[in-house]
Formats: sequence, structure tokens, C-alpha cells
Amino acid sequence: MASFAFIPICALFLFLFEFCILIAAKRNPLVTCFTVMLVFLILWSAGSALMRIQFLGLIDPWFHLSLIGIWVACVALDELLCRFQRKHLAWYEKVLALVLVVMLVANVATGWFLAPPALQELSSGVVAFVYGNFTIGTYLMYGVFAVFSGSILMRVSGCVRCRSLTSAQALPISVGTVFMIVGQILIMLPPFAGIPLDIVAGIVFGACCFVSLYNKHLFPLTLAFSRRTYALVTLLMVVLFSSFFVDDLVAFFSGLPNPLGSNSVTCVVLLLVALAFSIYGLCKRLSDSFFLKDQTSRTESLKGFQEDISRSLSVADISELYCHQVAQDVPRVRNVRICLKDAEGNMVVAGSSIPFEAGTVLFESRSAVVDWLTNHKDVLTPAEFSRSVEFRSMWESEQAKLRQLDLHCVVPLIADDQLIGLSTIALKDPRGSLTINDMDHLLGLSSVMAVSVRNCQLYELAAQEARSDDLTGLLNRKHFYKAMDELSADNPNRVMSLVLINIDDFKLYNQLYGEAMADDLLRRISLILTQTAGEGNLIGRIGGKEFAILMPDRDTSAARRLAENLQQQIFHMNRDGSYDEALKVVTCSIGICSMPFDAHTVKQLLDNANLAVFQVKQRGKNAIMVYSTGMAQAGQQASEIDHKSVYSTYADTIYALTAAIDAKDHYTFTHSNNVAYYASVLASAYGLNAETVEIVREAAMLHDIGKISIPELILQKPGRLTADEYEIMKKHPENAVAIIRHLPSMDYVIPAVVGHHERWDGKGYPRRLAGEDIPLAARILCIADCFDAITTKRCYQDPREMQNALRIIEDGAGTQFDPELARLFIEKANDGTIELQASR
Amino acid sequence: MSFLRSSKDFDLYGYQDVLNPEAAWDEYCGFLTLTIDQYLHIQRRLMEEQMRLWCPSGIGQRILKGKNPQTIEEFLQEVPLTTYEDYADVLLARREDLLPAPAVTWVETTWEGGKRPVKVAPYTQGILDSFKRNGKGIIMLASADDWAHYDIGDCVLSGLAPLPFLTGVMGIILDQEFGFRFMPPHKTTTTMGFTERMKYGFKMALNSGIDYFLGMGSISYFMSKKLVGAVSGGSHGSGGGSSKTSLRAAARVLKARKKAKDEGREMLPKDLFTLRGFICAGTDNACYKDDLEELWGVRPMELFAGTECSLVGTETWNRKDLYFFPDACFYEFLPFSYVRQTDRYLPTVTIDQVQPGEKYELVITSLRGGAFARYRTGDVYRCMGIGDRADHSTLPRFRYIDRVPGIIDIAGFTRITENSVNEVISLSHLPIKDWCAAKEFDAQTGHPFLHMYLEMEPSSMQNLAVSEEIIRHHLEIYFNYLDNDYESLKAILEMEPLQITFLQHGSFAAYEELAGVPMQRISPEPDTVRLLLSAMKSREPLSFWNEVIG
Repeated sequence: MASFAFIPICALFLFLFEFCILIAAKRNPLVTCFTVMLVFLILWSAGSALMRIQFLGLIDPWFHLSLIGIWVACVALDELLCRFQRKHLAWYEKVLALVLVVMLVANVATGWFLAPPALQELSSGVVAFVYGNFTIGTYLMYGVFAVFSGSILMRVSGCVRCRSLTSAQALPISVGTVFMIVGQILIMLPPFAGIPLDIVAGIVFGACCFVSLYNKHLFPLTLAFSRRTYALVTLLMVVLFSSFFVDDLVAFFSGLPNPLGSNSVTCVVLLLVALAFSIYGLCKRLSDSFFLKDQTSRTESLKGFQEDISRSLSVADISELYCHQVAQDVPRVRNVRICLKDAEGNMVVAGSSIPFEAGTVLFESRSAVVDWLTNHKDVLTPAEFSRSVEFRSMWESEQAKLRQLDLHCVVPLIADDQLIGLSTIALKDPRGSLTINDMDHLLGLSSVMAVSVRNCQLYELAAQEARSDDLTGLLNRKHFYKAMDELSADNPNRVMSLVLINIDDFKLYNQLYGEAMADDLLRRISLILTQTAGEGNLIGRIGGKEFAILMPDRDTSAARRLAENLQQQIFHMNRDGSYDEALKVVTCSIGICSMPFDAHTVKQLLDNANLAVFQVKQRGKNAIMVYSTGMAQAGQQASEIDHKSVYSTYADTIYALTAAIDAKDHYTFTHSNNVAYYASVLASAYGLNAETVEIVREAAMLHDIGKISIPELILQKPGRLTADEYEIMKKHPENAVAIIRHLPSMDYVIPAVVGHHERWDGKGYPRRLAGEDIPLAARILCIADCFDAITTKRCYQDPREMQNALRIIEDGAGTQFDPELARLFIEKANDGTIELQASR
Repeated sequence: MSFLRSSKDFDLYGYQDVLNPEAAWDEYCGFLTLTIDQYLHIQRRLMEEQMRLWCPSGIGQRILKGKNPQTIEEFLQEVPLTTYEDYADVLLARREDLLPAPAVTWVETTWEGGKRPVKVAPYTQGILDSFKRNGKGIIMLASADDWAHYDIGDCVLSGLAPLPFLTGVMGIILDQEFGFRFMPPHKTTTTMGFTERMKYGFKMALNSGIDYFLGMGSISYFMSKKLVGAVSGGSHGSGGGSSKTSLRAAARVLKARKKAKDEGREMLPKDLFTLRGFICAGTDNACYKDDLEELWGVRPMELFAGTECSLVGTETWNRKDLYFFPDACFYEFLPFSYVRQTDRYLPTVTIDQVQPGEKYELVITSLRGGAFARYRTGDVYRCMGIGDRADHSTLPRFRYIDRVPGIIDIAGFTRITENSVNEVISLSHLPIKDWCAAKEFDAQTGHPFLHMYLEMEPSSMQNLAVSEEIIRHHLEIYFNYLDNDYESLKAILEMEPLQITFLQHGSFAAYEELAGVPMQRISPEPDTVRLLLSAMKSREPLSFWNEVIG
């Protein structure tokens, strides 16, 4: 090519190539500074190339562009070296830079400092641009340049000698700078006149700077392999090819017969386009084959891993696959662990390339490593970690553990933006470190792994939910029977015992205390069963109030011992001081049957145990019965006996207690009788069964029994009670409970008695229950109690009319009284079902 | 590279290969950019660990007396403020079985002299690790001229005392961690006296140049003066040690002399050496900093450390204010109004509660298995403000003021208390009827000295030769006898640390009558001293008192 234009073109493409890479790199002061310098180097080489091909027939503008490019690039170089040394430009350097800029501006306007070069044909026939006609201004300009170069060289020397910088990083840029300055000097020497040695030196310089920045790990080399860079290389090749051969090719095609000869230019253009495509394709293929081979293989490995783990729904299997995959893809790895977060947030080893580690806690929930991963959700490397707040706050024990683990990297497992686990990596070489590519790959694997683990966990959760009872967490009926079948199918002759536990009077409990308390009772019983029955037995909730324990390899005797233990615990669960003692005692009826002694099949086992339970119920509940042959017949007979209400047997006791009240305060006795009437009528009207109505009546009879312990002065005080007296008065429901709790056979009235001063809006006493949390019987008593208090003569007030009292009940509906019951009471009073009871 | 690298990974060049300089800066000096919440997170987390170690330990149980704090708040409420007396029987006997964690080394310092000559403190591995990390940060900050603009050298002229003093730990750690070339080397100079070490160090420095100068402010000042004197007088070739004066040293001296001559002044250390960093520690540094900057051309950067609390804080490259390291101790601050009180339960504030402009006594709880809990250090700091953009920090800044009023510390060498002065007077058998002592500063040099105001026994005056010089010499004999460090003040720093002023008979009684309270013996306020001096002269005490307080 004439006038050495190919040299600045090559330089231009090199600088553009580097620019394309750096523009994609992570921002950093050094990278920014180098990028700025590259912009001016591009201007320089582009200006030089355009001048040498006399683009648009011009020389001067391209010359000035080139000159501005090189001078400003020198200033940028000085700044770059400063950055390398982590120093600032000295004041004289700033002055020199300013002087240079002023000179450039002046030169563009006047050409006084350095005039554009003249064209001169060398002996070889090549046209060269020769600088001549040097004026004082030229020497002045080069003088400033010489001072500036000296300053740059001093910086270079400082960079190389300074022990605080790694010389390996500083050396290439230093060598390049020397080349650059030498190149600038050479073009002024006569033997090299016209030859763009400065630009040759610029190419060396650009390459050296690039190496220096790469040595500082400021960008990955893979950035070089992008579509932009392929296009640049292609363009360069095509430009060079066309520069040298396009005339010859046009001549060649012109010499060919038509139609090729007449379309020679079109043919050349098509040829160039074909060449461009070929070169682009070749670049891509070469880079893929040689440079991106590793990346490609890792992408495939990631894909394969994804496919492998998608076939499994077991966390253990997936963990094992992950460990295997990491060891395969990063051969330098010594060991890999996968930890998953447990319920307490601890990281428990789920899989490890180290034997016997599974199940151990690697990091506790509050560990600094877990904190860091939770906060950053990124790969944790020692360098990164050591600069963190979490590192500074590490405990000695954590440090010791980390030292012992000797990790090189911790990769988070993130699913739904939550840290669900982590993976630890240790390398064979203790001083080694993972590359950015390695870490990217590990992050990719762990992302895939995290999604899969989350799916497994969700699956296991769903399976667990399907197997278990929502309320108690025990096996549900279906899965309990299934498990029984499976156990039996494994070995039909296997000894097994079945214990069925049926809660007595659970419906009553439910009515007395409400659904929430009843659910709580079931949960507490299930806890007792789980804690007592221990390992190896199957426990299930097979009915609303029925639990079952299947005891493989255990005989009748062992089952009975367990049943007795459970019965005792359940009986005392509301009486051990750890729970509300106002609750009634819970009893259960337990039936036991064993295989193969009393049953041959699972179905028979279940039927016989049920029959034993039935027998217990028939005989008065709260007992354990082991199934024996002949029981079936006895059970049929028993079912025919009319069951007499057990509650009527307590009538004497109730009478005795109410008589005690009468002795102390006759009003209370009369009041209790009235309330019993109103309450039982309301309970019947509400649709409660006879048994419950009887309980309500008995509770009403006893609801004020606690007033036995209230001084008569207060009970019969004609005026308003003082605050202290009222406080004493408010204790009567609890006093009543304190009396009744000593009569276990009557404890069923406690909920109603203790709760008859609770209010629907939660402002009552003693427990401040609200709404349906107040036992139904207590809500009924509340209305009856209030109504009677209003309509009878008291020591402090006269009786009011029935309608007046009903209006008060109506006003209090939804605040003091259950609105539904209040409405019902008013309705029944108005239709005459409830009659006003007289004061006696 | 792996987590928690061993110290060998951190040699000067090794760690920079691993971490680039910016990353190293972030690691060691990044604490400046912590938010106060992040700072407290570190403090509280490490405090939780310390509570687990300290509370069940023998030393903890002796102080807790059966209490069992579960949270940091409970700890601060239930543990009394402590002084060295609370630990003395365990620590002076070096009862390792009662410590929260094993001691790797024991560090020593002066206590009060006389009956209680030294204090010792156990240093655990954890404390040393924090010390290393923070020590590296200090070297980087001292080498910097801006955020992350630093350039670490390797030659250190050291004025640090060897082990078992804290400065010895500092020297050894910097030697190990940075591979510094100490002048004189630690290992070869433990048997040398101070002057011998100093001369040996000077000679090495002249041969190879120095990058850093480390020492207590007072010692650095007098070393610098000595250096100038020795080199100007041409005696740099004499003295002990094996290092021989080289041509390089001669050339260095000639060049420095020429420079000083050109500028028409005497030769200064800055003519001989170009320092990258100058680090000083100890009390009274403020008196010496300007002089040292003049001598060396570099303003000293102050670090803050104590035997009981280890390395707790540092200034930055701006050399303005101090920042406390977040992982050295758990810090509490006792407001200055309570400083003279000795109650065991006084209200303190944590670092996020300090108020700019207020003075506080620093109260520390050792972290990482250290022995001290809620320990009153006796050092008073002023909070200068919250954050400083120039330091890239939003943390509270402090400035060291002095020791608490009950202790007089002269140039970081002595711990003079009322007890120690009483003991000196008792031993001397001088007929001193009453006395008080204050730390004062020379009007010309600004350097500190101990000023004793004495009222002699009137009855003994006829039989006793009394002059300021006689009494001073007499007392100094016993100060030296009780406290070796006092002797060092004269021997090393070549200063007259004691001045005597005789008071008219009856001055103390007159003062008491005037002020209504007895004279404070140690560190009375300057106004109080003035009132004492004029108590006998004044016939109108009320009006004078009004003038003083008005």
C-alpha cells in the first residue's frame, strides 16, 4: 500500500479492538483512564491513516487530528501511570499538559508549531510524508514534549522500582512507554523520514498497556471473543485485502468474457462480501474451538447436570450429583459440600465428598458466613469476605471452624430470593484460588441445584401433608391403614399390636370450651403419644377423637403397658399445673388387639381393637381393654342396655352445695334456681341435647357458689360497692372453680361457671375471653344471670319490668351478650316460653 | 488462597500479589466507611462471644458475684465499672486457669510504682489477631496521602520499647506481618540499653535510609534531636553495634548538610531521610507533633493503644482525629462529669450515643477472650464530631485529651498518683506539711512537667537546708526509687520533669477557708492553683473567689 497507510490502519484496528473489549469491562479508574487514552490513540491512528490515503483529497485536517490524538494520549498516559502508582499528577505535569493543549489549539489555527508534512516519493516508489521546515515553534513544541517525556519516563522508573507495586504488572506498560517515546524520536531522524515508526511504536505500546491491565485482572480475556471484535477483525482484513488487491481484481475481472467482464466491479464487491462472511465465520469458529472450548464444555455440562437432577426428587441424590459434577468440572477441587438450611436456620450437610459428614451442622444460623450470604447472595471468596463487616465480627469459634474447613469459596443456593443452603469448595492447592470462570460455573450449577432442591422440598412437604393429619401432624387415617397393610404384607406372621385410643366425652369438651380448645387438646394428646410411643411405632389419628398406635414386634403385654402410661398422662394433662386447671379432666377409652394371637389380618386387628374400645365405652369409659375371643358377643349384648345419664348421680352433691349458699345468702340461692330455669329453657331452645341442657342447668345452680367466700357485708350491701369491694366480688367465679375442682365428677360445669361474667366484646372477667371463645354454656348463663338480676329485688335496687329487662338484654347483644342467644332469649320470653320467675 | 490465611501469607509482597492494593486498603482501612449500624453490629456480635467466655470464667465470676447476664444490656447493667484493683490478684499472679481464654503472651506496664509497680494484661490469640489486622491498617493509613493512595516501604527506624511492653508487641507484629526491616532489629537489641539501641538504629538508617519512624511522641522527639546532634557533630560513626558507616551514609550526610547550608539553617532529619510515614503513640503527643513535623517534614500520625485495651484507634492520613477500631474492644464512654467519681455503677454511653464536643473517659470491655470488663482506662477523649467527608467516614471522631485527673502522666512515661506522691514524701522524711501536684506545660517548649506546690512544716525550718534544688533532688531520689520510668524521663528524654514551688505557711489552710473545701492534691484545676497561690495574699477572699468563678 502506498504511503505506509496500512500501518496506521493496523494501529487503528488494534486500538478499536482494545476499545471494544474495555468498553464491556467492569468500570474502574484504571480501565476508564485506559479507555480515554485509547480514544485519543484511535484519533491519532485514524488521522494518520486518513492523511496517508489523502482521504477527501485533504491532508491538513487529518494531520491536526492525528497530532491532537498523540499529544492528548501522552497526557492520558501520564495519568494512567499515576493511577498505576496510586498517586496524583504533579503540579508541573498539569502545567505541561495545559501548555501542550494550548500549543495544539494554536497549531491548528496557525501551523506555527508543526506544519503538516509534505508529500515525497521515496526511491522505492512509495509516497512518504516528510516533515520539514522546522521553525522555532517546532523546537519549542518538541522541547515541551521532551520535558513531558522525561516526566513520563521518571514515572515509569518509579513504577518499576517501587516495591509496593508488583513489577510484573508495571513492566509491560513501562516497556510500551519507552517504545512510544523512542518511536516519536525516531521519526524526527533523517534515515527514518516518512516512515511512520511512531505508529509502529504505538502498536507495541497499545499491546503492552493491554497486557498490563490484563495482568491486573481488570477484565477477562473472554471479552475479546464477541461479535464486535469478530466484525472488527473482518473489517480490517477486508480493508487490507482490498487496499492491496482491489485494482488487480477489477482488472482481472474486466479481462474475463461477458457478463463477468462488463460487471467486474460487482464481481469484486461480491467477492469481498464473500470474503467478509468467510473471515467472520472463521473467527467465530476458531475462537469457539480454541478459546471458548472450555466455556462451551461447561455450558454443556450445566445442561447435562440440569437434565440429571430433573430426574430425581430426592435431595440426597441431587446433592450427590452436584458434588460429582463439581469435582468433574473443576478438577482442582479437593472437596465439595452441600448444606441446606434446617428449620432453625442452621446449615446442615446434605451431601459431601467427605464421608460421614451428612447430617452435621456446618454453620449455625447466626454464623458470619451465613449472615454474609444472606446479605449479599453472591459467591463468597476469602478476599471478598475478609473485607466485610461479617468477617470483622467473627467469633473465635467461627474462625477456628473456618480454618479447619480450609475453604476457598462458598456458593449460595438461592431460591425465591431466599438463601436455602450453600455449597463449600476447597481446592487441592491450599494457596490456590478459583478463576472467575470457575466461580461463574459454580454459581450456574448452584442455581440449577437450588431450584431443584426447592422443588424436592416442596414435593416432600406436599407428600408429608398428604400423609399427615393437618391438626396433629400424625399419620392420617388413609396412610395409617396403608402403613399397616405394608407392614403386614412384608411379613404376615409378624407380631404386631394395635392400640386404639378414643377420647371420652370429646363432644362435650368441644361444646364446653369451644373448637380452639378442643383442637388444642388433640394436639397435646398427639404430643404425648409421639413422645411416649417412641421410635419404631406408627402413630395416626384415625378419627375425630380417635388415635391409633401400631406397634410392630410388640406383644399384648407391651401394648398394655404403653396404654396404661398414656392413659395416666392424658388423665393428668389438665391437672399438672402447666395448663389451665379450670379445664375438665380428660379420660380415654383404650382398646388393644395383637396379631397373630387375636387377629389374622390387618382388618381383623382393627375391628377387634375397635370392639375393645366399644366395650370400654359400654362399661363407663376411662378404661383399657384388651380384646379377647368372645368379646364380640358380649359387646352386642351391652349395646342393647339403655345407657343412663351419669350426670343425674350428681344431683345430691349439687343440692348440698346450693343449700350451703342458701344458709349464707338466701337471695343467691333463689337467684341460682331462677338462673337454672332461664338457662335450661334457653339451652333447649338453642337446640342443645338433653345431656348438655342438664349440664347448663347444673352449672347455673352452682354458678354463684363462689359467693360463699365473699363477706356477707359485701353480698348484702345496700349501696354501690367500692372499687376494692368490687374487686373482691369479681373473684367469685374463680372461687367457685376452686370449690368445684375438688369434685372431679362435676368438673364439667367449670367452663360455664368460670365464664358466666365474660362479655362477648372481651371486656368481662376473669379471663377476658371474647366471642365464641367463651364456652356456650357460659354465654347462656350470662344472659340468664343478668335477666334474673334485673327482674328480681336486690338489696341495692328494686325489680324492673320484664320488657325493661328484655330491652337491656337487646341493648347488650353483641357487646355483653352473644347476639344470637340474646335474640333467642327475647323471642322466647316474648312468646311465653320463658316465664318470669318471682323473687322469693 | 483460603479463608483466614496464616501470617506468612501477609508478607509485604505476598499479600499484595494476592490482593491488589485497593482491595488490601478496603480490607484493613475499610472500617472507616462502616455505618454506625455496621460498626455496632461488629461490636455487639463480638461482645456476645466475649460474654460467653468471660461470664463463666473465674475472673468473671469474681466480679459478677453470682449474677448471670444474658444480654448485652443486662451485662452493662449488672457488671460494675472496674479498675485494675479488681483484677490485680488474678493477673499479677498470672492465674491462667481463671482467664476467659488462654493467654499467648503477657504485656506489662507501669502501675503506680512503689507498692504496686506494674500492671500486666493477658493477650489471647484473638486479641493478637485483631492487633495484627489493625496494625496493618495503621501502616497503610500512615503511608497514605489520600483514600487508598498509599505506598508501603520497608525500613523502619524504631523507638519502640521491647517486650514485655505493648510497643514490643507492635514491633514484633509489624516485623512478622509486613517483613519490615527494623532499625535496630528486634531480635538483636533486646539486651541493649536505650541509648545503645538508638545509636545502632541511627547508623543503620544512615546506611539504608528509612521509610517509617515509629515511637512514642516524646521519645521520637528526643531521638530526633539526638540524631541531628550526632550527625551534625560528626559522631554518627561512633557507638555500639556491628553496622559500619558506608559511603552511602557519608554521601547522605554530605547531601543533607549542603541542603541545610543552602537554606541557611541547621541540619534536620528531613534533610537526611524522606519518610513515607511517621507513627507515634503515648500521651502528650500534641506537645511534640509540631516540632516533629518541623524536624521530619512529615506530621506524625497518632495511634492509640493501652496495655489493658490493646490497639484501639488511629488517626487517618489527615492526622486530625482518632477513630476507634470496631473489633478491638467494646467501647463505653463515661461522661467527664463523672470522671472523678469512684462509684461502681455510673451511667455510660455507647459509641453511637456520644455527643460532639463532650469529653469522656474511655471504658472498655476486652473482646476475643480478654480479661477486662467495663474497665475504666483512665484516658479522657473528646468527641470532635460525627463523621468526616475527608476521611470517608461517618463514625464518631475523637481526640485524646489526657489521663483522668487522678493520674499524672508525663510524656507517656509515668503514672503519678496521690498514693505514689505520699509514698515519696514519706520515704524522703522531708518536713512537708501539705502539698499538691499538677501537670503543667513549659511556656516556651510546650513540653510537660510535674509541678509540686509544697508547704513546709514551719517548726522544722530552722534546722533544715531548704532550697528548691535540694528538695527537688531529694524528692527525685525517691521518685526514681519507686518508679523506674521516672528515671527514664531524665535518662532518655534528658528533661527536668519536676518543678517545685514553695508556698507560704498556712496557704492550704487559707485555701480551705477560702474555698470551703480541702485542696485537691492531684491535678487541681489551674484556677484552683491560682487561688491557692494567692490565698495568703488575699485579704478579701470572697471578692477574689467571685472574680475566679465569675
